[in-house]
Order: sequence, then C-alpha cells, then structure tokens
Amino acid sequence: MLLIKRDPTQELSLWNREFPSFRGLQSLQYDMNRIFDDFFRGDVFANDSFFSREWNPAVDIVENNDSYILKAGLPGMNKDDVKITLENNLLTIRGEKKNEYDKKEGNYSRMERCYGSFERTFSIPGTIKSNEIDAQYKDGILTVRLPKAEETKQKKIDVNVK
Amino acid sequence: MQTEILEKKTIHSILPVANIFETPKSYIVSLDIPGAVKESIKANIENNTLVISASVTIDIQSENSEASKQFYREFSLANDIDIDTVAAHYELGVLRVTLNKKQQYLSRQITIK
Repeated sequence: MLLIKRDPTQELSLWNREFPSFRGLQSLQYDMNRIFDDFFRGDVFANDSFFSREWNPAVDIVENNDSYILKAGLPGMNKDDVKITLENNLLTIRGEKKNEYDKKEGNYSRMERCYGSFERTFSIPGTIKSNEIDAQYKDGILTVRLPKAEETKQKKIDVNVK
Repeated sequence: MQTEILEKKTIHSILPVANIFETPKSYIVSLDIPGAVKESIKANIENNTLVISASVTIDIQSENSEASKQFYREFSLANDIDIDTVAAHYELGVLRVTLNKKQQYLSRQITIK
C-alpha cells in the first residue's frame, strides 16, 4: 500500500467530487463502503494513488499456488474498450466507459454510475509467464489469470529425517 | 426460513449502483450487478415498489466455503407506471428494467382546429 502525505486541499476536492449532494444517501453509503473497503483491505498490489482517481473499478485479487487471479467489476462495458498491458511487472488495466443513453432521447433523473476513462496499475510480486496470461470478460467481470513462473512458485521440499 | 439463510455464508450485502433515465414514454432503471447469472436475479413489483435482488457466487474463494454476494435494492414507483408492461433485460453485468408510462400520462400534441 502506498503511503500518501496528507494534503487537506486534496481531501476537500475529493469530498466535493465524490459526494455531490444530489446523489442521495444510498449512493453515499455505497461510496463510503467502497472507500473503507479499499482503504482497509491492505491491498499489497495496489499501486494507484487513492486520492487522484476519477473512478476506479472494484478489483479482487486472489493468489494460489499456480497463479494470481485478478477480477475487476466492469459492468456495462464493451470488451474492446478495455486494454490490459504488462510492463516491468506492472499490470495496467485501462478503459473507457461510455454513457449508455443519448441525452436527446431523455434525461437522467438519477445518476449514480461513473463514466469516463479509468486506469489501475498493480505491481506483480515475482515472475509470471507473460506469454500465458489469459483474460476474459463475462457478465461485466474481467478476469485476468497470471500464471506464476516456476521460480516464483512456492516449493515444498520434504526433508527426510534420519 | 432459518436454514435457508444458514446454507450459504453471506459476506456482503450490496446496494447496486443505479441510473434512472427518463424518456417521453418510459423510465429505464439500470443497475450494476456484475457477475450474476440471469436466473439468479429476481425482480418483482409489490405494493408499487420495484424490488431487485440477486445472489452472485464468488468463485475465486480459495477456501472450501462457497460465499456469495447479495444485491438488493428497492424503488418506490409513482402511479404513472403501467405495471403490466414492465420488462427487464440483463447484459454485460447490467440489469435494465423498462417501466412504461401509462397512456394517460404521456404528453401529446393537441391539434387546434
């Protein structure tokens, strides 16, 4: 987790941007939950700055013996609008979410969802088999499987006691 | 009832993010429910309230227990909605419920003779 110097001006701007009063209490609750989740998850992979975001998809990361599995919630997006790159052990997911309805057809009476571009970067501990990365998008969830290279896998050695 | 609740370990109860878009003829409520199976989403209208609930299985839990996320949200409806023609569609993690306005509430042009 990144340590960020406290900057009151930034906090204030975040407050204004993230909690416009018209968005209602329920969405406020949602935002609060999400911020607390992000903050207290102790996400060792998170490389992005907490205070400098526009909107960020929620991400779960699971590590098992063979691989790291990253799941990002990207509902309502086109597969082609998401780009995944791996560079120097930094995995970056970026994309753009487009507005779903044309303003000419009507008006939003409630708008809680965020639109626009996003970018999240994760540093991957250890080496992975970069040519075997597999990504799938289904039902609004992007799943990226990063298989570990042999040297990163935890080795279990049985020692015979004589 | 109680056994049903105990069967699966629920770790989250989530309020899905919603947009409501109003066109001259209808309201479209769209909710983010990523990772759901269409069959696990329930939408019904009771006492002029639209109730959306869904259960999403978290399949990447490495432990043996199978956890699930519960999505739940209610919307109270005004009386200009034609309840008989409500339609819902789930695609790419987004549920869209179309609520048509009743005929008598639609705006119409009156011709002046």
